Amino acid sequence: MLQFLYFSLSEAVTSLWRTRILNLLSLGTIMFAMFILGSFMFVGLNLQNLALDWQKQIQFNIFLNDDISEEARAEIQAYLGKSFFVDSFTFLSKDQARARFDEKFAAYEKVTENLEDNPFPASFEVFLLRGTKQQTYTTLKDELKSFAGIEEVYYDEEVFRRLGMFAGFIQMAGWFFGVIVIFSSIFTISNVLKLTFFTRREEVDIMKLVGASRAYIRGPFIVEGVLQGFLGAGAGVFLVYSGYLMVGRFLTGNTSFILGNLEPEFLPMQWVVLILLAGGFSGLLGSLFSLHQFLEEHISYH
Amino acid sequence: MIRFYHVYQSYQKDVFALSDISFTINPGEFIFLTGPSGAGKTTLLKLIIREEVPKKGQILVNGQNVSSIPVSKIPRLRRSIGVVFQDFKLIRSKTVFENVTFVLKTLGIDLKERRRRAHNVLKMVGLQHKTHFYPLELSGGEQQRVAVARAIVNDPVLLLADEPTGNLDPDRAADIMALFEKINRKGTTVLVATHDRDMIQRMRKRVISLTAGRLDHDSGSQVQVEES
Repeated sequence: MLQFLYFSLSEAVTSLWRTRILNLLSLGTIMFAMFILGSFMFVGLNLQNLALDWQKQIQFNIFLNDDISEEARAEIQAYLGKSFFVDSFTFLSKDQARARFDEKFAAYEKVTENLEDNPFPASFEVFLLRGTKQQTYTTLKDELKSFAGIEEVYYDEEVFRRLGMFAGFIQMAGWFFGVIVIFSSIFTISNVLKLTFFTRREEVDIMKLVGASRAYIRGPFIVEGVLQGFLGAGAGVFLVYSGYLMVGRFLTGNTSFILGNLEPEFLPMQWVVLILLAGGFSGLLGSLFSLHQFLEEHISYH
Repeated sequence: MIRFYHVYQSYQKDVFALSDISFTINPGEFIFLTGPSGAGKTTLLKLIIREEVPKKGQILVNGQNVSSIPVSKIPRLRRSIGVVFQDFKLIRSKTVFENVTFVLKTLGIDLKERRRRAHNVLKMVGLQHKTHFYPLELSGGEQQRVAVARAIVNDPVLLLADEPTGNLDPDRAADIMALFEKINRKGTTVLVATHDRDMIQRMRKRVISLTAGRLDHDSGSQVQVEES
């Protein structure tokens, strides 16, 4: 068996090299296919990470009325201090809110300079304990409604919900396009192998005449297909990795960007292995398909 | 070793390439198969290695009925027979060494042993210095000798040769025939298709002669009488 595998592998490698220009076609196709699949998986994974990270610690703002009394503010502060679910909170006065805006959005500094009144409300920034459920937040929100001087309790749950959905959608789209491009890869590999076969037709005839068994004739073709798929998938994963490095560099160099704090995560090793296996499997299907549909009559002894 | 029983072969209706051929070749014999071009020599050899199936009749090779042999057993049959094809049938993309040892490789014989056997047979045919050449870098005569080396590398029980000296000068042709005799003395049955009358007369072996697809003459017993 080992001998057979060695034979098939060495013949397949020789053939791949001999018809390398032709093979670039199928390698390129499967590389593109796996790059598409890998990219969607990468983007989906990181968006989901982002959504999860944001959702892990619920943060909300309690915006206060401008005319809130000192006592009312102290009551709210006391309530937050006593609450079991509140991890930490900070008070942001109207001036501090304006200063923060000026700092974050320096380009709009002139807009705030021209304002006579400070439109930014004072607020509490509240962080709940990690793992606190959204239901708990809703209860807290309801309780806070009974306090005087509160303008609004704001938690952008819709954004997070949509982000999570979008991440899921991206991953689904990845699988969808992935399946389409994998089918196109199978088709390409199958056709390239047919062309390869024509360049080796005489060789196959001679192999039959000197008594090479059917397995020894088929083996190299199958291994060649698998290698094409494997190498193409490897090149696709490499492209995704290059993209990952570039995105990482872009994000660390642009801290003002909304996702500036995000450290992108590359595909987990299991996913990389899965992509490589998908490539190899596409190659296997492509070669079996071409052997079954087209080459069988040439390869078989009859 | 080989038995033909009333074998017929045709490619078109009522046009026979071989017609009612019957003969027996015993193990260890050296036979010339002769006749003019188109007499059916190559067809007869193709039937022995089951490259073709006869329209009628039975063919026994080494105890196996090749007319009805299962397809799965054809490779094994062919590996037990060494064949020197008229057009050499060398794989152009493989070197002399790779061509000669191809069958050994499919049999799982390790590289060291393949090298040893290739060296021996290539030395026999005088090409031990051209192991890394490709067929197209060799002359016609050299390619023919590579084909001979490939045919004998696996110590076949039966050696078939279709015009094996057609592209060789008389000296080299004599060398090849001497090599065939040497292989024959080791017990291999040798069947050589040729129309080289001088060589046939010189070697004084059994001759089966075909004319227009019919067995014209079999000198089998006559040669044995002369030799005895």
